[in-house]
Amino acid sequence: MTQTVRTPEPLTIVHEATLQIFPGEAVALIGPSGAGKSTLLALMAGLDTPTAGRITLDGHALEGLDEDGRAAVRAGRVGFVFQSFQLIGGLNAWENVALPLELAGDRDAGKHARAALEEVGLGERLRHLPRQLSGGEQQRVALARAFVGEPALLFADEPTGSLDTITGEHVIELLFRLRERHHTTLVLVTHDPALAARCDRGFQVRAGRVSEWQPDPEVLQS
Amino acid sequence: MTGRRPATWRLAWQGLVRELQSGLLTSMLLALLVAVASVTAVGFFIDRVDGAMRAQAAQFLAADARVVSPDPLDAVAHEAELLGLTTSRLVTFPTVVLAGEQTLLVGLKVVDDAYPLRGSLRIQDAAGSSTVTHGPPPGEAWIGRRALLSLGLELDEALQVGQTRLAVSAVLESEPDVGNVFSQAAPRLMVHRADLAATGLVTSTSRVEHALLLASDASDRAARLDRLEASLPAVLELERPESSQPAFEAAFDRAARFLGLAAVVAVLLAGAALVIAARHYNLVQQDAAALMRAMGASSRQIGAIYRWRLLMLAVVAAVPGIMIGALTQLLLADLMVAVFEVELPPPGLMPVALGLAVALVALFGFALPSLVQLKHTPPLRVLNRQATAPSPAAAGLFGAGVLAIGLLVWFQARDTQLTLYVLGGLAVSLAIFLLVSWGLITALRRWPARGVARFGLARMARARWVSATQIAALALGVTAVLLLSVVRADLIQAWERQIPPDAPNVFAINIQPDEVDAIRGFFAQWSVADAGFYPMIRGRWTGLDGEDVDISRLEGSAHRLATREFNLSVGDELPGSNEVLQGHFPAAGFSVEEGIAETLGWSLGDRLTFRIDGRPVTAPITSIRSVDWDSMRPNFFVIAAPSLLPDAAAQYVTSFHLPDGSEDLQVELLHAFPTVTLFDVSRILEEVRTLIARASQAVEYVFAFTVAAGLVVLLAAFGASERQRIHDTAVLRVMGATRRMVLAALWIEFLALGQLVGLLAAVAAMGVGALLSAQVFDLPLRLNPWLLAWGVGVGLLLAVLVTPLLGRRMTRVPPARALRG
Repeated sequence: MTQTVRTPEPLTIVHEATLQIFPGEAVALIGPSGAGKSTLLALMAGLDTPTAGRITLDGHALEGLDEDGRAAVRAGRVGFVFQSFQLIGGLNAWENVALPLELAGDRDAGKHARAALEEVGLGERLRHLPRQLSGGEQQRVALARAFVGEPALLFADEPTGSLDTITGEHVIELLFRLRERHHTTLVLVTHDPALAARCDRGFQVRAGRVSEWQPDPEVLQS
Repeated sequence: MTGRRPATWRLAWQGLVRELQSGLLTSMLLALLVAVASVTAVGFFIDRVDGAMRAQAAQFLAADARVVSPDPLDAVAHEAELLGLTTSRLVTFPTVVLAGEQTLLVGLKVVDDAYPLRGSLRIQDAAGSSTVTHGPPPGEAWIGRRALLSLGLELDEALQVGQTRLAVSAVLESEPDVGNVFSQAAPRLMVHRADLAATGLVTSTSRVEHALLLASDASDRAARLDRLEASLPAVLELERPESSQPAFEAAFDRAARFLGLAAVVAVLLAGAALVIAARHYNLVQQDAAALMRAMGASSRQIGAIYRWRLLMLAVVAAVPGIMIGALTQLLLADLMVAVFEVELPPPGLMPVALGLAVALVALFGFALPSLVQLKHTPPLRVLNRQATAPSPAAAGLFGAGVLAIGLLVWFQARDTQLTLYVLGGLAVSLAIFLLVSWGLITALRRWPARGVARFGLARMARARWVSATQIAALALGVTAVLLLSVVRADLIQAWERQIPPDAPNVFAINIQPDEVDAIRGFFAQWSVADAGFYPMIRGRWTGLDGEDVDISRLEGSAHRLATREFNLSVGDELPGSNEVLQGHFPAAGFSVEEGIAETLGWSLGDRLTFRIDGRPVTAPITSIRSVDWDSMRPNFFVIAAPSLLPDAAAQYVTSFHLPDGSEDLQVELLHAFPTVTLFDVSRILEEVRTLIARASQAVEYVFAFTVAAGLVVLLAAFGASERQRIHDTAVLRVMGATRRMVLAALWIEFLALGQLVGLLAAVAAMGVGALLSAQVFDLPLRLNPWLLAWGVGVGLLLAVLVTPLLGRRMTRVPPARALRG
């Protein structure tokens, strides 16, 4: 797939990228800032459309689908975790987690949301608004929200980017534990080689070009 | 997980509750609350006053409705009884009665046992003065005091009426259905229907007036009357009480327009606040919408969530809004207690529906166009905040806004003319406000300001259209407040001047030509100013452009007017309360009143024929006049040129003002001129004056809603930009600006903005005020130059009110936190 934007001159952000991710895998997209990792993630998740190429998500070809068609493919299959948490400020933790289930019409959204929050250790903070939670707690709510619908695929965009190192490590531990428990395919965007090395496979993104990535053994040791 | 349809309403409600708690929806909620409260308060109030007016008017008709005909109305009465209506049958005609050697022409009124169906009569009999709700019993007659004196009768003496003799058992002091004062030239005699046959006065060829009075206490009275009206032959008309008191009705109609306008302005201001607040809400909600789209929500779901949320917000605002409206109307209704003899009826449910409708129309017209775009928020925004929902199409915003305003104004005023004026005035004002603001901001941008002034002015100049929109919205709010505060006072004063304290309150009719000079002398002796003496000639309209009038082809009031005799006047001097609309006056033809010309289909130049004193008089219509019927001066539908009727038999009519406690003068006048008939209209004049005074007060109360709506506009305008201002302030402070510098910049910005807003609004209020008074309220009004000073003052007040408040909020947040967002 290729993604080119025209602001102000044509700029190719993702250049003829080809990659295949299998069910149950954990795949890292690693590269420096501005390399095109997040754009690649957006294309894979159907949040954006490539200017050329094709994407198949969980067996569904995304090309030719309009925004609503791609949303329907994502619904119930795809979860997200973002660097900036993306919790809805007006809703409390429980309501934030229940939101994807509510949108999917789940009658037991509240019950499942409570269980998901308990799973991430926030069973006591159900009624707290995002601003009443620390950064690490907010990201745990986001994890609960990502996994509550039992998605087949989870896209995580720099999930520790807004957290300090220790909190970040706790969040990553939790992310991998949940992924294993729920058998979820993971696509993780990061610029941290150590974090990327925890995945089954890695792809390096540099100036929009994608190549296989192998972790540096020294990094692994450190 | 199930495949059930998602509960969008639940998500909508959840978000609504949280956003109300967080204050995000405060401006929208308050705007709706004010709009609903003002509309329902005025709605409830007008509903109740209207009800009271109908009840009171019903007393003047002695019924809920009446049918009048030269022929017996037995068939109509039968139909009415089948519909469950109570009926009373009257017959009236002039006849000569005899008492000893004395004869007198009287207006005989024959009533049945049911009379009157509404209201009461005041009589004086041997036991004294009393109020009764029935007519004389069979065998007795009640007589007007003037007739009693003229006939030299005493109570309980007998009177010869046709072929029968009746005992005069009471003096009739007042009766509810007096009717047209000028048609009742002769003094009254009232007898029972059972005695009519014995008088032998009415035969099949007699010219009498039959009246059928109708009433019902059923809740569906109006529907029953409507059904009866539908069954009436074309030549008959159902008279309803609302048309029985034109002066009172005209005054209340004007009051209702004033109140309606105040409420409409409050609603329009609320609309402006909604537009601003919804735009801000759209920006804040884009993150949530993008997130839901990333989670797989369809655009339809997103749209439904926000539509549901608006619907719920409408209900949440409408319920307390209607309650506030209901409480306010209690206050307003209290003002009107003194105006009516009857108790104000409880309000109907229509204003509740109106309040709800206003909330929905306002939200969907002003807020939905902004929010509907949220469904197009790209899900990519979750990763890239540069991705935004498309801006609402200007055409959509404009179209929905115009439709909403049009609907709201029409709901309130039920007046197409007022609706068009408001829409036109608003569109022109907004366009001018926007262009002038844009021009001035552009000029400010080039002004080489230094230091803190540069920061303050730069903020305005940075986003010219945003600032211009904000200034235009605020100027609109201030225009409305100025319009209703300053211009309102002018309008009310002009309105009160319509019926000055020395307006004529007594009419004198049946004045013979040779009595005119003597009565003038009498008035001069008593220092009474008269409204002029006008000849009055009776005539029947018989032809139009050379063809006979075909009465059978006329319907309703046209039929009624054509079957009755007109009171024409003769003269070449235009009465004071008349204005020539078309043609010339004086001229050798007929001058006709615009209303009757419209009813009977007359136009300038048409040749009219009247039968006067048994001979036809034909001439063209040479002018069409407007007549101020509230003036309490003698006025005429038709005025003929003196050359057309050189020797017609005329009686004269005049009106004059008698101060309170001058009853002696009336008695003296009647003694000196026994054939003259006096009609005292001071009571109705006093009622109209009281109504105007109380309605003015009601306008003051309703005005509070307008001011509240203006404040909500302010809140919305600054609430929308608060987050950006806090961020900008944090940047300034990080770069070393002191708190004092930040506040100074803010003062400069708001002083400039306040003056701009104030002056724009003052000029607009001057123009709109003059237009409204002249075109809608039919009042003369000069431009008020003090509005400019008021504008400057309001601009200053705006800066003084807003700057410290906003300054505190902007500097309270530590820069680090503000920059973190």
